[in-house]
Amino acid sequence: MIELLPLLAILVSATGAILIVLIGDRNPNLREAVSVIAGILKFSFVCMLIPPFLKGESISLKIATILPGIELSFKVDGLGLLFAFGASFLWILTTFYSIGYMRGLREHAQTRYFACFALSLSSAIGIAFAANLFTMFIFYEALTVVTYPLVAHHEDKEGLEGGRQYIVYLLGTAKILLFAAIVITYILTGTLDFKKGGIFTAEVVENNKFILQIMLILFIYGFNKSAVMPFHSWLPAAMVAPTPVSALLHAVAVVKAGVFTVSRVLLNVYGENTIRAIGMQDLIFFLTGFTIIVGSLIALTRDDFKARLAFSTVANLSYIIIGVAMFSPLGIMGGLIHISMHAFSKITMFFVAGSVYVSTHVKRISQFDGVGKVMPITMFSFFLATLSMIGIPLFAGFISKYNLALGALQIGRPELLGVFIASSFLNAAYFLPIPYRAFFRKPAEAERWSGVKENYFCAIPLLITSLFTIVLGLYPDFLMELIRRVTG
Amino acid sequence: MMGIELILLFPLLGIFLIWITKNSKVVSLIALLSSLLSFLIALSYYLNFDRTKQDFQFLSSYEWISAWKLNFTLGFDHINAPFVLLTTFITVVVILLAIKTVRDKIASFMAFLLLLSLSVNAFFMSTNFLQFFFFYEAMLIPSVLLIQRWGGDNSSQAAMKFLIYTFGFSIFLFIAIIAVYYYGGGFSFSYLESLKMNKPTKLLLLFGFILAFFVKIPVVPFHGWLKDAYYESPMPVTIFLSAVLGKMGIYGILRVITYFNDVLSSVNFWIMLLCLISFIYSAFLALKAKDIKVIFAYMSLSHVGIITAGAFTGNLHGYQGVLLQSINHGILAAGLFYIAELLNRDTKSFDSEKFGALSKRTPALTFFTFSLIMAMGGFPGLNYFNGELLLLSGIFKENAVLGFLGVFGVALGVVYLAWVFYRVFLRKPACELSQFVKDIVSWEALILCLFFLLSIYLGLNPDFILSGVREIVSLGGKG
Repeated sequence: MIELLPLLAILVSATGAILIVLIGDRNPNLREAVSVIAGILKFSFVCMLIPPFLKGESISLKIATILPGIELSFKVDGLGLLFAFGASFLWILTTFYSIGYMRGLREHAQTRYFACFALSLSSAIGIAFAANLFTMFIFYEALTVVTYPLVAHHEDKEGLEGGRQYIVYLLGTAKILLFAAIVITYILTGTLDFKKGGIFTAEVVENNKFILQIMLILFIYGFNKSAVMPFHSWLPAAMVAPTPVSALLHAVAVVKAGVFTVSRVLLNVYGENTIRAIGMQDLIFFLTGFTIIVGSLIALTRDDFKARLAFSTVANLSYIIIGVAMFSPLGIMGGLIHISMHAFSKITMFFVAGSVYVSTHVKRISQFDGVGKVMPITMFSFFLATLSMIGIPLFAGFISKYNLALGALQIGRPELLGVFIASSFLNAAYFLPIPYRAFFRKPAEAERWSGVKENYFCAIPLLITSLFTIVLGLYPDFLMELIRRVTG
Repeated sequence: MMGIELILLFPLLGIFLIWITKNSKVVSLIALLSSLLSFLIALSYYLNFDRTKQDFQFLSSYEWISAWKLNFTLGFDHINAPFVLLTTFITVVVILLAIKTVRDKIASFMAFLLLLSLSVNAFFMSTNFLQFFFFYEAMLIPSVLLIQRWGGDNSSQAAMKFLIYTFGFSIFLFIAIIAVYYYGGGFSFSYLESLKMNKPTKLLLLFGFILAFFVKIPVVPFHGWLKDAYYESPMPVTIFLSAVLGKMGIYGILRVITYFNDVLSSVNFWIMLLCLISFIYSAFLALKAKDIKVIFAYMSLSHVGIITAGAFTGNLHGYQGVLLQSINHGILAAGLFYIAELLNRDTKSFDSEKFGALSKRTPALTFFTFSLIMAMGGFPGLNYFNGELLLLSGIFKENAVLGFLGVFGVALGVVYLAWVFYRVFLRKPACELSQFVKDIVSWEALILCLFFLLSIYLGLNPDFILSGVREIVSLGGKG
């Protein structure tokens, strides 16, 4: 029975999507109720997997053998649970938020919106529990496809153009780079299953050093959802989507699926020994370090609220890869825990962007002066999230940055520490002005914000997520325990 | 006691009955029934044949030319059985479509279609070269007549081109077969094993086969007949051409290639390169085209390029990939051409520029088009992906550069398919013809659903086609 839980967690939202389409616009309340119920069920299925996993039970399910060494199968491990837990929990909050946002703005095609949202969560959970590259590839591609209608939701010129970039980047890289990498992996090893410590034997590594080097690059850029520069520009372009989409998909499900898959490849396809043997660690550090600094610098220059958040996301994703690539216990801990820590902080920020937009239709940071007075919950939550993003102690972001910094020292790479410190300063530089403007600057016209009210459907979920940045900062043990199973 | 020849006899009976009735309603029913029975018998033999054996099974033999000790023999083995199943299946689909679309001289159309299907099946089931060659040529008669009499404005020219190309180049096949008889001692396929000839002569023999089959498949630069023949044919015939006829050449190569493994390694790089150039070149042609039917025609041309390349890898994965992908391609290409016909039905146009924004108007058609395009684009978990994986794996094993060339072509395939889907279904604003397109009705949905379910089934269970191929390759691989 317990083996079926991963499958149920995947299917529950897919079934939900079918129900949502069947109910349609005839009964919006029932339709949204289905979304919420599916979300709660999914979250409980994921939670039910945690106790047996922590007890050390092995939970795996094989659906079909496609070709020798290629199976459609699922396996539950710490890394997958970490990702699934965060994504399924935040989906519930995002659903409530979406109801407020979509109804507040009277958006069109809400049925399609909620159905695609449910399907994208199915795909994300599928990625989390995939036991091999083949299964992961299925759900990875599915995630791209089902999120396209969400990105191009507005169906205007801008929306279609953003959607086009999104699909071209993600499908294109997956087809050219990732597919090639998967085929070569299959030739070299005869299997695509993930294994602790990697699947390449010492002999294979010895004979195919050059191929493995090329393949690693193919993997990193093939899983392009991780947005490592220079293939990152789909992420800012995808910000044309409605804000809840940007929030869940581009802070939690899609981009985290990207770094999750890269982490899987580093940990369970290559493994520490192979990476060291082929000598690619420095290149990964360079690419991701470059992305962190340049991404942050670009964020500094953006006045559009969501664009600034998008570039901040680009930078933060590379934290995770850098941490995993350190292959030291603390580095991996810092990197992987950043999946959750960044998720809670960044989703709060996106929710804030949407909440402000629903109430005031303002998108530009330079026009935020004084908005904190009329939207106190929203802007205060943003301030909390900012503190977490910077990495102030007691907040979630501190846990990951602290571990990352220690990890860098543990492997004797102080220059990485420099990157983290510089990036934290940059974080402060591009985020702190926003709450400052909101609370301490007076608007140009005195009556600028008269009549503006907070939408509580939006404000309460974001308050909850911002409070979670403190909760996770104070009690990170549960997540750390999951990750210890990955490294230990 | 009747055996495997029933697969051929039912269409033959159908042709006879059509000839004597000529009432259009009854004719359709007869054609449908006879093709359906033929399919069911093929299916039952397919499910029951012994996959551990390598020889032909269910042999049924009739004395033919006693002077050459030649019998008319039909049989099933791992290689031809999937092709026979595909042909009989596609025949049923094509007849279903023809019942709805062909208005003119339906009786003769059905008779020729059954004759075409019959000769193609007889070709696949042959166990000796002379019979193989006989039906290789025989199928030209019904197909040329079908293209010429029921085709578009330039159909005569298209039919003539098709005839000249395939008939002309089949002389090389004929010479090769004579050479096998001369050097090997007989017409049976197995005489290829006992060829007494030196290496250069054997290479020459291989090129004879290749030249003939490459025109039939076709591979660039032998593709001159393809666009006109596909475009001018009525849709049922186009589906048959794309899904089945191209596979005759691929089957021919599969049949002979294992016997040439000892000489293959000296030339296979160049042949694979040619096939992959064909793959990529025609992908660009598809990318440039605006007409949906032309795009799908070039798509077919493109995909058979990489399938053919797989046959020359000389390793298990490549070989398995060819067999699997031929069947996958047959199913999906038929599905996509069928969709093109649905768009054309009420608008009489294939111009992708004249549609747009159909997704709201025709949600069911959009869903199935999207599904089949995803499948054709190699979405993992669906059937085409498995074939691509095997083919590329085979090619990569031989040569990494060719492998990357293949991956590039595969990606291009996604681009033009996605592009045509975007233009017809998503792009806004809609153009003049969109308003005339009606959504699919139940029986059309049923056919499309069948294609999609097959895609899922073969995606999860490629062994349905591949079981047993492990051994025949190890036998061929000894060279």
